[in-house]
Amino acid sequence: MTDALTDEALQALRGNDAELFSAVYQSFAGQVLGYLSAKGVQDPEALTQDVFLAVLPRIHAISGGVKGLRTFVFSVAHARMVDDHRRQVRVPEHQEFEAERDTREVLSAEAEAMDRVAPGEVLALLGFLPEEQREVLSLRIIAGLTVEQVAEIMGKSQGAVKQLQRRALTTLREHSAVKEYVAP
Amino acid sequence: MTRSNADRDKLVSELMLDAGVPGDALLKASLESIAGLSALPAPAPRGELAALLGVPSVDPDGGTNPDGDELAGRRRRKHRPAIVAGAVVTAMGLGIGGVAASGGLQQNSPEFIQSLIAGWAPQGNPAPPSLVPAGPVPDAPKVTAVPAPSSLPTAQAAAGTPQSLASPSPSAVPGHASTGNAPSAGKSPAALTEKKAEKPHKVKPKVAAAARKEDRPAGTVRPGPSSPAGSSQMSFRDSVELMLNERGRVGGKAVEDVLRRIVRLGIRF
Repeated sequence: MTDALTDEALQALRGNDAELFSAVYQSFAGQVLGYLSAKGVQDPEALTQDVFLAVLPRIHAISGGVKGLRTFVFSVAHARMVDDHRRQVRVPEHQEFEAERDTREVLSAEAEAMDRVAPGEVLALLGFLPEEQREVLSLRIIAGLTVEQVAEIMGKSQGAVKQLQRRALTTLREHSAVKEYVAP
Repeated sequence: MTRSNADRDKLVSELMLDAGVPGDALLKASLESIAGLSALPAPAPRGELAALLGVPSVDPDGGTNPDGDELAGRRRRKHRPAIVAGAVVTAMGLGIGGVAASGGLQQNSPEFIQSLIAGWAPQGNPAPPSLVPAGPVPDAPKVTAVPAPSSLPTAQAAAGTPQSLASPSPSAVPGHASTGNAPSAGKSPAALTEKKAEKPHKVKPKVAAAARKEDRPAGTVRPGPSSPAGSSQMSFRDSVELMLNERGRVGGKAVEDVLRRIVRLGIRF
């Protein structure tokens, strides 16, 4: 895993908040957006910006270099995702759809990227998984976290995380939709 | 920056190895497609985040609540027709209220129109077409021809009545007759004053007019004066008095002409 932001670059940018913030945002914002999109939050872009509004002011207190920063960023993203899911459960949002006001297809970079990656079917794949398996899989392959980091974020043991990811892969492999999606 | 395809492949391979299912191509492909979500571009910072990063916000209003202004605009657009409708209804209400406050045209229209007509009559027109309808004119000679012989006794008997006041006008009592004549004619004051002013030029119809006037009381047929201008009798009297005072009794002849004219009009009516 080769991020543009390395420990050396992070150390060099200390004291220059504007460039440091921009570098951190550009390094992690796309992954956070992908993670939140995979988790099915209501407004992934807005929540992504909320995550960095919480992370960037505290960036000087983070230890552990880029690895520690990644863990912290996705810890905040995970917490915001959980809050968003709880809010959706409490108050399901019912919005009247007005086609003339719906400009998301044109303006959203997320939608364009989703079409480029796999139109709609990636989220459908994740939708087959239970919540915890989905969370582990997202943190592992979208956020790029290790089992230890995922365990720390989710508050579980490493063995539990490994068990969850194993079940997740088994579910995906056995699911018929996986074969339909991958088949030419 | 974002992760490369090789990095994603490495991540997926490690995951599959940890899960104990290495080498499954189909599963690997699906997992790589999921991992591709990490390649999403970073969203453009807005609002507070843009300020924190030191970059201009995407939205000119700060972007903290991009839908807020749009919703406010839609609310304004929704309220606009209601405001216009309210203004129209208010204007109509004021108009109707104004008409109602004025008492309405139907109730006051007769008096109102009468007052207008009493004060407004064509000047310089000796015989206005509205006062001399075409129909009654041919009938006038018939009436005068038949009751002519019995005119004298009836005229004296009715001297006290307003109708007979016009009888002495031919030549007997020009001055006195004018005072007592007022209520008889029932003509609009303005029209009468004008006719009087122009009358002096016409001397010919005096005799005929006198005969007709005397015939009138005998037959006791006066449909004309009462019906069309019954409400303006008082104003006629006042107008005659006013005329005499202003002109200072211009002369017996002129007064006679006025009275004859009045009588002639009365016959026609």
